[in-house]
Amino acid sequence: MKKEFYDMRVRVIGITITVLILFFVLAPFQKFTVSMLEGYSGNPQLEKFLPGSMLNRLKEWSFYINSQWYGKNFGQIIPIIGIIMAFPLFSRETENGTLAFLLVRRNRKLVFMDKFLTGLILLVLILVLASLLPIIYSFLLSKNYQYTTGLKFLLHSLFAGILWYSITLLYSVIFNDQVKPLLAGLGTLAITTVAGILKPLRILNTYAYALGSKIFQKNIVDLKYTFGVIIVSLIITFIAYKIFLKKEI
Amino acid sequence: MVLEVRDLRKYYKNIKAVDGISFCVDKNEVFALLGPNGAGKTTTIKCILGLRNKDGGEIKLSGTVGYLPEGKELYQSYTVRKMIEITASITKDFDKDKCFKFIEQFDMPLSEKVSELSNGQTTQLYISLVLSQRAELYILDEPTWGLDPIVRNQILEMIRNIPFDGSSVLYTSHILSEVEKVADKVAIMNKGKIIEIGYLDDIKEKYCAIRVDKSKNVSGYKYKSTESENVYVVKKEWAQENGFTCEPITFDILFEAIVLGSNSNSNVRGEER
Repeated sequence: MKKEFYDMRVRVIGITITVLILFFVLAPFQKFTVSMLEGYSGNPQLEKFLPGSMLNRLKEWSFYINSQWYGKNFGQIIPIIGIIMAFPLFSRETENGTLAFLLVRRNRKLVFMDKFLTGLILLVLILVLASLLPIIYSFLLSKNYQYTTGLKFLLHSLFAGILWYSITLLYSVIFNDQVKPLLAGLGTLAITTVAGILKPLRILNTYAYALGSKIFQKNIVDLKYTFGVIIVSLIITFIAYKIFLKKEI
Repeated sequence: MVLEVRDLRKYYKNIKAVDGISFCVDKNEVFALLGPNGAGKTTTIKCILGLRNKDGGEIKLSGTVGYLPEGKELYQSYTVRKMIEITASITKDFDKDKCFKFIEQFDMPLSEKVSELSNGQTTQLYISLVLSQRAELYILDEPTWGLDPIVRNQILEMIRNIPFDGSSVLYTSHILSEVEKVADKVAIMNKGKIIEIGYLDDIKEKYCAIRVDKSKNVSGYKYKSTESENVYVVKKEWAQENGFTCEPITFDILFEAIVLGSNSNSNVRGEER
Protein backbone atom coordinates (compact mmCIF):
# COMPACT_ATOMS: atom_id res chain seq x y z
CA MET A 1 0.00 0.00 0.00
CA LYS A 2 2.99 2.26 0.62
CA LYS A 3 3.69 2.34 -3.10
CA GLU A 4 0.08 3.07 -4.00
CA PHE A 5 -0.16 5.94 -1.51
CA TYR A 6 3.07 7.32 -2.92
CA ASP A 7 1.81 7.01 -6.50
CA MET A 8 -1.47 8.77 -5.73
CA ARG A 9 -0.09 11.61 -3.65
CA VAL A 10 -0.07 14.24 -6.41
CA ARG A 11 -3.64 13.48 -7.48
CA VAL A 12 -4.92 13.53 -3.90
CA ILE A 13 -3.17 16.79 -3.04
CA GLY A 14 -4.39 18.36 -6.30
CA ILE A 15 -8.00 17.36 -5.76
CA THR A 16 -7.95 18.41 -2.09
CA ILE A 17 -6.56 21.85 -2.92
CA THR A 18 -9.15 22.29 -5.69
CA VAL A 19 -11.97 21.33 -3.33
CA LEU A 20 -10.71 23.71 -0.62
CA ILE A 21 -10.35 26.59 -3.07
CA LEU A 22 -13.85 25.89 -4.39
CA PHE A 23 -15.27 25.97 -0.88
CA PHE A 24 -13.47 29.11 0.21
CA VAL A 25 -14.51 31.12 -2.82
CA LEU A 26 -18.08 30.20 -1.94
CA ALA A 27 -18.68 29.94 1.80
CA PRO A 28 -17.46 33.35 3.01
CA PHE A 29 -19.30 35.21 0.23
CA GLN A 30 -22.97 34.55 1.05
CA LYS A 31 -23.82 38.21 1.63
CA PHE A 32 -21.93 39.31 -1.48
CA THR A 33 -23.68 36.67 -3.64
CA VAL A 34 -27.14 37.54 -2.33
CA SER A 35 -26.62 41.29 -2.70
CA MET A 36 -25.31 40.79 -6.23
CA LEU A 37 -28.37 38.74 -7.15
CA GLU A 38 -30.64 41.31 -5.53
CA GLY A 39 -29.09 43.89 -7.79
CA TYR A 40 -30.55 41.97 -10.72
CA SER A 41 -34.05 41.69 -9.17
CA GLY A 42 -36.70 42.80 -11.59
CA ASN A 43 -34.77 41.31 -14.48
CA PRO A 44 -37.28 38.91 -16.13
CA GLN A 45 -34.52 36.56 -17.30
CA LEU A 46 -33.22 36.15 -13.75
CA GLU A 47 -36.74 35.82 -12.33
CA LYS A 48 -37.22 32.84 -14.60
CA PHE A 49 -34.30 30.94 -13.06
CA LEU A 50 -34.16 32.49 -9.64
CA PRO A 51 -37.59 33.51 -8.34
CA GLY A 52 -37.80 35.99 -5.48
CA SER A 53 -38.70 33.30 -2.97
CA MET A 54 -35.51 31.46 -3.81
CA LEU A 55 -33.50 34.62 -3.41
CA ASN A 56 -34.97 35.08 0.06
CA ARG A 57 -34.10 31.50 1.00
CA LEU A 58 -30.49 32.07 -0.06
CA LYS A 59 -30.29 34.52 2.82
CA GLU A 60 -30.60 31.51 5.18
CA TRP A 61 -27.13 30.07 5.76
CA SER A 62 -28.24 26.42 5.74
CA PHE A 63 -30.05 26.75 2.42
CA TYR A 64 -27.28 28.82 0.89
CA ILE A 65 -24.45 26.43 1.74
CA ASN A 66 -26.46 23.26 1.01
CA SER A 67 -27.67 24.48 -2.38
CA GLN A 68 -24.39 26.09 -3.45
CA TRP A 69 -22.00 23.45 -2.08
CA TYR A 70 -23.73 20.06 -2.16
CA GLY A 71 -26.32 20.96 -4.77
CA LYS A 72 -23.96 22.77 -7.12
CA ASN A 73 -20.20 23.26 -6.84
CA PHE A 74 -19.03 20.17 -4.95
CA GLY A 75 -22.01 18.03 -6.03
CA GLN A 76 -21.15 18.50 -9.69
CA ILE A 77 -17.57 17.36 -9.36
CA ILE A 78 -18.22 14.26 -7.21
CA PRO A 79 -18.38 11.83 -10.19
CA ILE A 80 -15.35 13.55 -11.74
CA ILE A 81 -13.37 13.09 -8.51
CA GLY A 82 -14.27 9.37 -8.60
CA ILE A 83 -13.15 9.12 -12.24
CA ILE A 84 -9.87 10.98 -11.65
CA MET A 85 -9.02 8.79 -8.66
CA ALA A 86 -9.60 5.55 -10.59
CA PHE A 87 -8.54 6.03 -14.22
CA PRO A 88 -4.74 5.54 -13.87
CA LEU A 89 -4.83 2.84 -11.18
CA PHE A 90 -4.09 -0.08 -13.52
CA SER A 91 -3.83 1.57 -16.93
CA ARG A 92 -0.76 3.63 -16.00
CA GLU A 93 1.10 0.47 -14.96
CA THR A 94 0.06 -1.30 -18.17
CA GLU A 95 0.97 1.69 -20.35
CA ASN A 96 4.37 2.14 -18.69
CA GLY A 97 5.12 -1.60 -18.73
CA THR A 98 5.54 -1.75 -14.94
CA LEU A 99 2.67 -4.13 -14.19
CA ALA A 100 4.96 -7.16 -14.62
CA PHE A 101 7.25 -5.67 -11.95
CA LEU A 102 4.37 -5.88 -9.47
CA LEU A 103 2.87 -9.17 -10.59
CA VAL A 104 6.07 -11.18 -10.23
CA ARG A 105 6.43 -9.91 -6.66
CA ARG A 106 2.89 -10.18 -5.36
CA ASN A 107 -0.08 -12.26 -6.38
CA ARG A 108 -2.75 -10.69 -8.55
CA LYS A 109 -5.36 -10.69 -5.81
CA LEU A 110 -3.09 -8.63 -3.56
CA VAL A 111 -2.10 -6.24 -6.34
CA PHE A 112 -5.77 -5.64 -7.15
CA MET A 113 -6.82 -5.22 -3.53
CA ASP A 114 -3.89 -2.87 -2.82
CA LYS A 115 -4.74 -0.58 -5.68
CA PHE A 116 -8.50 -0.75 -5.24
CA LEU A 117 -8.46 -0.20 -1.47
CA THR A 118 -5.82 2.56 -1.50
CA GLY A 119 -7.77 4.49 -4.12
CA LEU A 120 -11.02 3.86 -2.25
CA ILE A 121 -9.63 4.99 1.12
CA LEU A 122 -8.21 8.19 -0.38
CA LEU A 123 -11.43 8.85 -2.31
CA VAL A 124 -13.50 8.41 0.86
CA LEU A 125 -11.17 10.75 2.77
CA ILE A 126 -11.48 13.46 0.10
CA LEU A 127 -15.26 13.10 -0.10
CA VAL A 128 -15.70 13.06 3.67
CA LEU A 129 -13.51 16.13 4.05
CA ALA A 130 -15.37 17.97 1.29
CA SER A 131 -18.76 16.94 2.66
CA LEU A 132 -17.85 17.98 6.20
CA LEU A 133 -16.51 21.38 5.17
CA PRO A 134 -19.89 23.17 5.61
CA ILE A 135 -20.34 21.50 9.01
CA ILE A 136 -16.84 22.42 10.23
CA TYR A 137 -17.11 25.94 8.83
CA SER A 138 -20.55 26.49 10.38
CA PHE A 139 -19.33 25.21 13.73
CA LEU A 140 -16.19 27.38 13.75
CA LEU A 141 -18.06 30.50 12.73
CA SER A 142 -21.08 29.69 14.95
CA LYS A 143 -23.45 29.75 12.03
CA ASN A 144 -26.94 28.37 12.32
CA TYR A 145 -26.71 25.08 10.42
CA GLN A 146 -28.68 21.80 10.40
CA TYR A 147 -25.86 19.34 10.92
CA THR A 148 -28.00 16.25 10.28
CA THR A 149 -28.78 17.50 6.78
CA GLY A 150 -25.05 17.82 6.12
CA LEU A 151 -24.57 14.19 7.12
CA LYS A 152 -27.31 13.12 4.70
CA PHE A 153 -25.49 14.91 1.90
CA LEU A 154 -22.29 13.18 3.02
CA LEU A 155 -23.89 9.78 2.40
CA HIS A 156 -25.05 10.74 -1.10
CA SER A 157 -21.66 12.24 -1.97
CA LEU A 158 -19.80 9.14 -0.77
CA PHE A 159 -21.78 6.57 -2.69
CA ALA A 160 -22.04 8.66 -5.86
CA GLY A 161 -18.25 9.04 -5.80
CA ILE A 162 -17.72 5.32 -5.15
CA LEU A 163 -20.03 4.37 -8.03
CA TRP A 164 -17.98 6.39 -10.55
CA TYR A 165 -14.76 5.18 -8.97
CA SER A 166 -15.77 1.55 -9.54
CA ILE A 167 -16.99 2.19 -13.11
CA THR A 168 -13.68 3.87 -14.06
CA LEU A 169 -11.72 1.19 -12.20
CA LEU A 170 -13.22 -1.35 -14.59
CA TYR A 171 -12.14 0.76 -17.58
CA SER A 172 -8.68 1.10 -16.04
CA VAL A 173 -8.36 -2.69 -15.87
CA ILE A 174 -9.66 -3.21 -19.41
CA PHE A 175 -7.68 -0.55 -21.29
CA ASN A 176 -3.92 -0.54 -21.77
CA ASP A 177 -3.38 3.23 -21.80
CA GLN A 178 -4.43 6.04 -19.50
CA VAL A 179 -6.41 8.17 -21.92
CA LYS A 180 -9.06 5.57 -22.76
CA PRO A 181 -10.29 4.90 -19.19
CA LEU A 182 -10.47 8.64 -18.55
CA LEU A 183 -12.44 9.28 -21.74
CA ALA A 184 -14.62 6.20 -21.21
CA GLY A 185 -15.42 7.31 -17.64
CA LEU A 186 -16.29 10.85 -18.69
CA GLY A 187 -18.20 9.54 -21.72
CA THR A 188 -20.26 7.17 -19.61
CA LEU A 189 -21.02 10.01 -17.20
CA ALA A 190 -22.16 12.24 -20.09
CA ILE A 191 -24.25 9.52 -21.74
CA THR A 192 -26.00 8.41 -18.54
CA THR A 193 -26.71 12.02 -17.57
CA VAL A 194 -28.20 12.86 -20.97
CA ALA A 195 -30.12 9.56 -21.13
CA GLY A 196 -31.51 10.32 -17.68
CA ILE A 197 -33.39 13.32 -19.11
CA LEU A 198 -35.82 10.79 -20.60
CA LYS A 199 -38.37 9.84 -17.97
CA PRO A 200 -38.11 6.03 -18.31
CA LEU A 201 -34.31 6.27 -18.04
CA ARG A 202 -34.09 8.85 -15.29
CA ILE A 203 -32.59 6.24 -12.95
CA LEU A 204 -29.42 6.53 -15.08
CA ASN A 205 -28.92 10.17 -14.17
CA THR A 206 -26.64 9.81 -11.18
CA TYR A 207 -26.39 13.59 -10.81
CA ALA A 208 -29.87 13.76 -9.30
CA TYR A 209 -28.52 11.51 -6.53
CA ALA A 210 -25.07 13.13 -6.23
CA LEU A 211 -26.59 16.58 -5.89
CA GLY A 212 -29.03 15.30 -3.26
CA SER A 213 -32.40 16.16 -4.88
CA LYS A 214 -34.30 13.89 -2.46
CA ILE A 215 -32.65 15.66 0.49
CA PHE A 216 -33.68 19.05 -0.88
CA GLN A 217 -37.22 17.85 -1.63
CA LYS A 218 -38.02 15.69 1.42
CA ASN A 219 -34.99 16.05 3.72
CA ILE A 220 -34.42 12.28 3.55
CA VAL A 221 -31.64 10.04 2.27
CA ASP A 222 -32.64 8.23 -0.93
CA LEU A 223 -32.18 4.78 0.58
CA LYS A 224 -33.47 2.83 -2.42
CA TYR A 225 -31.06 4.54 -4.82
CA THR A 226 -28.20 4.28 -2.27
CA PHE A 227 -28.78 0.55 -2.02
CA GLY A 228 -28.85 0.27 -5.82
CA VAL A 229 -25.61 2.25 -6.12
CA ILE A 230 -23.88 -0.02 -3.58
CA ILE A 231 -24.98 -3.17 -5.43
CA VAL A 232 -23.94 -1.82 -8.84
CA SER A 233 -20.56 -0.67 -7.45
CA LEU A 234 -19.93 -4.10 -5.91
CA ILE A 235 -20.86 -5.93 -9.12
CA ILE A 236 -18.67 -3.69 -11.29
CA THR A 237 -15.71 -4.02 -8.91
CA PHE A 238 -16.12 -7.79 -8.88
CA ILE A 239 -16.13 -7.88 -12.69
CA ALA A 240 -12.99 -5.69 -12.75
CA TYR A 241 -11.34 -8.07 -10.28
CA LYS A 242 -12.21 -11.15 -12.35
CA ILE A 243 -10.92 -9.52 -15.55
CA PHE A 244 -7.69 -8.49 -13.81
CA LEU A 245 -7.07 -12.06 -12.60
CA LYS A 246 -7.07 -13.27 -16.21
CA LYS A 247 -5.52 -10.24 -17.90
CA GLU A 248 -2.48 -10.99 -20.07
CA ILE A 249 0.56 -8.77 -19.66
CA MET B 1 14.50 -29.58 -10.04
CA VAL B 2 13.48 -25.92 -9.86
CA LEU B 3 11.38 -25.64 -12.99
CA GLU B 4 9.69 -28.21 -15.18
CA VAL B 5 7.87 -27.23 -18.35
CA ARG B 6 5.99 -29.99 -20.12
CA ASP B 7 4.25 -29.67 -23.50
CA LEU B 8 3.66 -25.95 -23.05
CA ARG B 9 1.42 -24.40 -25.67
CA LYS B 10 0.40 -20.81 -26.26
CA TYR B 11 -1.54 -19.72 -29.32
CA TYR B 12 -2.63 -16.31 -30.58
CA LYS B 13 -5.52 -17.15 -32.89
CA ASN B 14 -3.74 -19.10 -35.67
CA ILE B 15 -0.22 -18.27 -34.57
CA LYS B 16 1.52 -20.92 -32.53
CA ALA B 17 3.76 -18.73 -30.36
CA VAL B 18 4.78 -21.69 -28.21
CA ASP B 19 4.08 -25.10 -29.65
CA GLY B 20 4.46 -27.98 -27.22
CA ILE B 21 7.85 -27.32 -25.68
CA SER B 22 9.31 -29.23 -22.73
CA PHE B 23 12.40 -28.57 -20.65
CA CYS B 24 13.53 -28.44 -17.07
CA VAL B 25 15.94 -26.32 -15.07
CA ASP B 26 17.86 -28.09 -12.34
CA LYS B 27 19.16 -26.67 -9.10
CA ASN B 28 22.40 -24.64 -9.39
CA GLU B 29 22.13 -24.59 -13.16
CA VAL B 30 22.28 -21.79 -15.74
CA PHE B 31 19.83 -22.64 -18.51
CA ALA B 32 19.84 -20.49 -21.65
CA LEU B 33 16.83 -20.23 -23.92
CA LEU B 34 18.06 -19.13 -27.32
CA GLY B 35 16.38 -18.29 -30.57
CA PRO B 36 15.81 -15.57 -33.13
CA ASN B 37 13.28 -12.77 -32.60
CA GLY B 38 9.76 -14.15 -32.46
CA ALA B 39 10.94 -17.65 -31.57
CA GLY B 40 8.68 -17.70 -28.50
CA LYS B 41 11.25 -17.20 -25.73
CA THR B 42 9.58 -14.25 -24.02
CA THR B 43 6.13 -15.81 -24.36
CA THR B 44 7.50 -18.98 -22.72
CA ILE B 45 8.91 -16.93 -19.85
CA LYS B 46 5.65 -14.98 -19.44
CA CYS B 47 3.67 -18.23 -19.33
CA ILE B 48 6.02 -19.58 -16.64
CA LEU B 49 5.48 -16.41 -14.59
CA GLY B 50 1.70 -16.46 -15.08
CA LEU B 51 1.74 -13.15 -16.96
CA ARG B 52 0.21 -14.93 -19.98
CA ASN B 53 -2.40 -17.68 -19.88
CA LYS B 54 -1.17 -20.93 -21.37
CA ASP B 55 -3.35 -22.90 -23.77
CA GLY B 56 -1.99 -26.25 -22.68
CA GLY B 57 0.77 -28.10 -20.91
CA GLU B 58 2.14 -28.11 -17.42
CA ILE B 59 4.48 -25.81 -15.53
CA LYS B 60 5.93 -26.90 -12.21
CA LEU B 61 7.80 -24.19 -10.37
CA SER B 62 9.24 -24.69 -6.93
CA GLY B 63 10.26 -21.71 -4.85
CA THR B 64 10.33 -17.99 -5.47
CA VAL B 65 11.28 -16.34 -8.73
CA GLY B 66 13.21 -13.17 -9.50
CA TYR B 67 12.44 -11.74 -12.93
CA LEU B 68 14.25 -9.31 -15.18
CA PRO B 69 11.99 -8.56 -18.16
CA GLU B 70 13.06 -7.84 -21.71
CA GLY B 71 11.80 -4.24 -21.50
CA LYS B 72 13.51 -2.87 -18.42
CA GLU B 73 10.61 -0.63 -17.38
CA LEU B 74 10.78 0.91 -13.93
CA TYR B 75 8.89 3.77 -12.28
CA GLN B 76 10.13 6.87 -14.09
CA SER B 77 9.14 9.38 -11.41
CA TYR B 78 11.00 7.58 -8.60
CA THR B 79 14.56 8.25 -7.57
CA VAL B 80 16.96 5.30 -7.43
CA ARG B 81 16.67 5.30 -3.61
CA LYS B 82 12.86 5.40 -3.73
CA MET B 83 12.85 2.59 -6.29
CA ILE B 84 14.90 0.42 -3.91
CA GLU B 85 12.69 1.27 -0.92
CA ILE B 86 9.47 0.58 -2.79
CA THR B 87 10.87 -2.68 -4.16
CA ALA B 88 11.87 -3.69 -0.64
CA SER B 89 8.32 -3.00 0.58
CA ILE B 90 6.70 -5.28 -2.01
CA THR B 91 9.31 -8.02 -2.44
CA LYS B 92 9.65 -11.09 -0.27
CA ASP B 93 13.20 -11.82 0.99
CA PHE B 94 14.66 -8.61 -0.39
CA ASP B 95 18.11 -7.61 0.88
CA LYS B 96 18.16 -3.81 0.81
CA ASP B 97 21.82 -3.56 1.88
CA LYS B 98 22.89 -5.88 -0.89
CA CYS B 99 21.01 -3.72 -3.37
CA PHE B 100 22.67 -0.52 -2.12
CA LYS B 101 26.03 -2.28 -2.51
CA PHE B 102 25.25 -3.17 -6.13
CA ILE B 103 24.25 0.44 -6.80
CA GLU B 104 27.49 1.65 -5.24
CA GLN B 105 29.40 -0.86 -7.36
CA PHE B 106 27.72 0.52 -10.48
CA ASP B 107 28.50 4.05 -9.31
CA MET B 108 24.90 5.18 -9.66
CA PRO B 109 23.68 8.28 -7.76
CA LEU B 110 20.84 7.39 -5.38
CA SER B 111 19.14 10.76 -5.83
CA GLU B 112 18.94 10.42 -9.62
CA LYS B 113 15.45 9.94 -11.08
CA VAL B 114 14.87 6.72 -13.01
CA SER B 115 13.70 8.81 -15.99
CA GLU B 116 17.13 10.44 -16.12
CA LEU B 117 19.08 7.17 -16.19
CA SER B 118 20.52 5.86 -19.45
CA ASN B 119 19.29 2.52 -20.85
CA GLY B 120 22.38 0.82 -19.50
CA GLN B 121 21.95 2.33 -16.04
CA THR B 122 18.27 1.35 -15.97
CA THR B 123 19.31 -2.23 -16.72
CA GLN B 124 21.94 -2.04 -13.97
CA LEU B 125 19.36 -0.78 -11.49
CA TYR B 126 16.82 -3.40 -12.53
CA ILE B 127 19.29 -6.27 -12.28
CA SER B 128 20.42 -4.97 -8.86
CA LEU B 129 16.80 -5.06 -7.69
CA VAL B 130 16.29 -8.57 -9.07
CA LEU B 131 19.49 -10.08 -7.71
CA SER B 132 18.93 -8.54 -4.27
CA GLN B 133 15.88 -10.73 -3.92
CA ARG B 134 16.53 -14.17 -2.51
CA ALA B 135 15.02 -16.54 -5.07
CA GLU B 136 15.34 -20.16 -6.11
CA LEU B 137 15.14 -19.24 -9.79
CA TYR B 138 16.16 -16.05 -11.58
CA ILE B 139 14.55 -15.54 -14.95
CA LEU B 140 16.57 -13.02 -16.91
CA ASP B 141 15.30 -11.92 -20.31
CA GLU B 142 18.11 -10.32 -22.30
CA PRO B 143 19.96 -9.20 -19.15
CA THR B 144 22.86 -7.52 -20.92
CA TRP B 145 20.90 -5.60 -23.53
CA GLY B 146 22.18 -2.05 -23.98
CA LEU B 147 25.22 -2.44 -21.74
CA ASP B 148 28.79 -1.48 -22.55
CA PRO B 149 31.33 -4.36 -22.57
CA ILE B 150 32.72 -3.58 -19.11
CA VAL B 151 29.35 -3.53 -17.39
CA ARG B 152 28.23 -6.50 -19.47
CA ASN B 153 31.12 -8.52 -18.08
CA GLN B 154 30.25 -7.39 -14.55
CA ILE B 155 26.67 -8.58 -15.07
CA LEU B 156 27.79 -11.87 -16.59
CA GLU B 157 30.02 -12.40 -13.60
CA MET B 158 27.03 -11.81 -11.33
CA ILE B 159 24.96 -14.33 -13.30
CA ARG B 160 27.76 -16.86 -13.22
CA ASN B 161 27.93 -16.56 -9.45
CA ILE B 162 24.20 -17.17 -8.90
CA PRO B 163 24.47 -21.01 -8.84
CA PHE B 164 27.15 -20.79 -6.14
CA ASP B 165 24.50 -19.33 -3.82
CA GLY B 166 22.24 -22.32 -4.46
CA SER B 167 19.94 -20.73 -7.04
CA SER B 168 19.30 -21.39 -10.72
CA VAL B 169 19.03 -19.18 -13.77
CA LEU B 170 16.83 -19.30 -16.84
CA TYR B 171 17.93 -16.67 -19.26
CA THR B 172 17.63 -15.57 -22.84
CA SER B 173 20.14 -13.74 -24.95
CA HIS B 174 20.93 -12.92 -28.54
CA ILE B 175 24.63 -12.73 -27.81
CA LEU B 176 25.94 -16.26 -28.23
CA SER B 177 29.44 -15.56 -26.97
CA GLU B 178 27.77 -14.59 -23.70
CA VAL B 179 25.84 -17.84 -23.59
CA GLU B 180 29.03 -19.82 -24.01
CA LYS B 181 30.51 -17.98 -21.06
CA VAL B 182 27.73 -18.63 -18.56
CA ALA B 183 25.31 -21.36 -19.65
CA ASP B 184 25.42 -24.97 -18.57
CA LYS B 185 22.47 -26.12 -20.63
CA VAL B 186 20.83 -24.53 -23.69
CA ALA B 187 17.62 -24.90 -25.63
CA ILE B 188 17.45 -23.47 -29.14
CA MET B 189 13.95 -22.33 -30.05
CA ASN B 190 12.50 -21.37 -33.40
CA LYS B 191 8.89 -20.78 -34.41
CA GLY B 192 7.59 -21.87 -31.01
CA LYS B 193 9.43 -25.19 -30.90
CA ILE B 194 12.62 -26.37 -29.27
CA ILE B 195 14.89 -27.66 -32.01
CA GLU B 196 17.87 -28.61 -29.91
CA ILE B 197 18.36 -29.00 -26.19
CA GLY B 198 21.12 -30.24 -23.98
CA TYR B 199 24.37 -29.39 -22.26
CA LEU B 200 26.24 -26.76 -24.24
CA ASP B 201 29.42 -28.84 -24.51
CA ASP B 202 27.45 -31.91 -25.63
CA ILE B 203 25.67 -29.94 -28.36
CA LYS B 204 28.90 -28.42 -29.60
CA GLU B 205 30.49 -31.88 -29.57
CA LYS B 206 27.53 -33.45 -31.40
CA TYR B 207 27.75 -31.40 -34.60
CA CYS B 208 30.37 -30.65 -37.22
CA ALA B 209 30.55 -29.15 -40.71
CA ILE B 210 30.97 -31.15 -43.90
CA ARG B 211 31.61 -30.02 -47.44
CA VAL B 212 29.51 -31.70 -50.09
CA ASP B 213 29.71 -31.42 -53.85
CA LYS B 214 26.80 -29.39 -55.21
CA SER B 215 25.61 -32.31 -57.30
CA LYS B 216 25.01 -34.35 -54.13
CA ASN B 217 22.20 -33.88 -51.72
CA VAL B 218 22.64 -34.39 -48.00
CA SER B 219 20.07 -34.09 -45.30
CA GLY B 220 21.36 -31.66 -42.73
CA TYR B 221 21.35 -28.00 -41.86
CA LYS B 222 22.65 -26.30 -44.97
CA TYR B 223 24.87 -23.52 -43.67
CA LYS B 224 26.32 -21.95 -46.83
CA SER B 225 27.12 -22.50 -50.47
CA THR B 226 30.29 -21.85 -52.39
CA GLU B 227 30.71 -22.10 -56.17
CA SER B 228 31.34 -25.80 -56.17
CA GLU B 229 30.09 -27.11 -52.85
CA ASN B 230 27.57 -26.79 -50.07
CA VAL B 231 28.53 -26.66 -46.43
CA TYR B 232 26.23 -28.61 -44.14
CA VAL B 233 26.09 -28.83 -40.38
CA VAL B 234 25.38 -32.43 -39.51
CA LYS B 235 25.69 -34.80 -36.59
CA LYS B 236 29.34 -35.83 -36.18
CA GLU B 237 28.44 -39.48 -35.73
CA TRP B 238 26.51 -39.58 -38.99
CA ALA B 239 29.30 -37.77 -40.87
CA GLN B 240 31.92 -40.23 -39.67
CA GLU B 241 29.74 -43.24 -40.51
CA ASN B 242 29.30 -41.93 -44.04
CA GLY B 243 32.95 -41.13 -44.61
CA PHE B 244 32.81 -37.32 -44.54
CA THR B 245 35.63 -35.21 -43.18
CA CYS B 246 34.38 -33.35 -40.11
CA GLU B 247 35.35 -29.75 -39.59
CA PRO B 248 34.87 -28.20 -36.15
CA ILE B 249 32.36 -25.38 -35.92
CA THR B 250 31.77 -22.51 -33.53
CA PHE B 251 28.60 -22.26 -31.49
CA ASP B 252 27.59 -19.20 -33.54
CA ILE B 253 27.72 -21.23 -36.76
CA LEU B 254 25.89 -24.12 -35.16
CA PHE B 255 23.13 -21.83 -33.88
CA GLU B 256 22.75 -20.06 -37.23
CA ALA B 257 22.69 -23.33 -39.15
CA ILE B 258 20.11 -24.91 -36.87
CA VAL B 259 17.83 -21.87 -37.00
CA LEU B 260 18.18 -21.35 -40.75
CA GLY B 261 17.81 -25.06 -41.31
CA SER B 262 14.65 -25.29 -39.28
CA ASN B 263 13.18 -22.41 -41.29
CA SER B 264 13.54 -24.46 -44.44
CA ASN B 265 11.45 -27.63 -44.32
CA SER B 266 13.65 -29.49 -46.82
CA ASN B 267 16.51 -29.32 -44.43
CA VAL B 268 14.67 -30.53 -41.39
CA ARG B 269 15.20 -34.23 -40.96
CA GLY B 270 15.35 -36.29 -37.83
CA GLU B 271 17.92 -39.04 -37.66
CA GLU B 272 19.42 -38.50 -41.06
CA ARG B 273 21.25 -35.37 -40.02
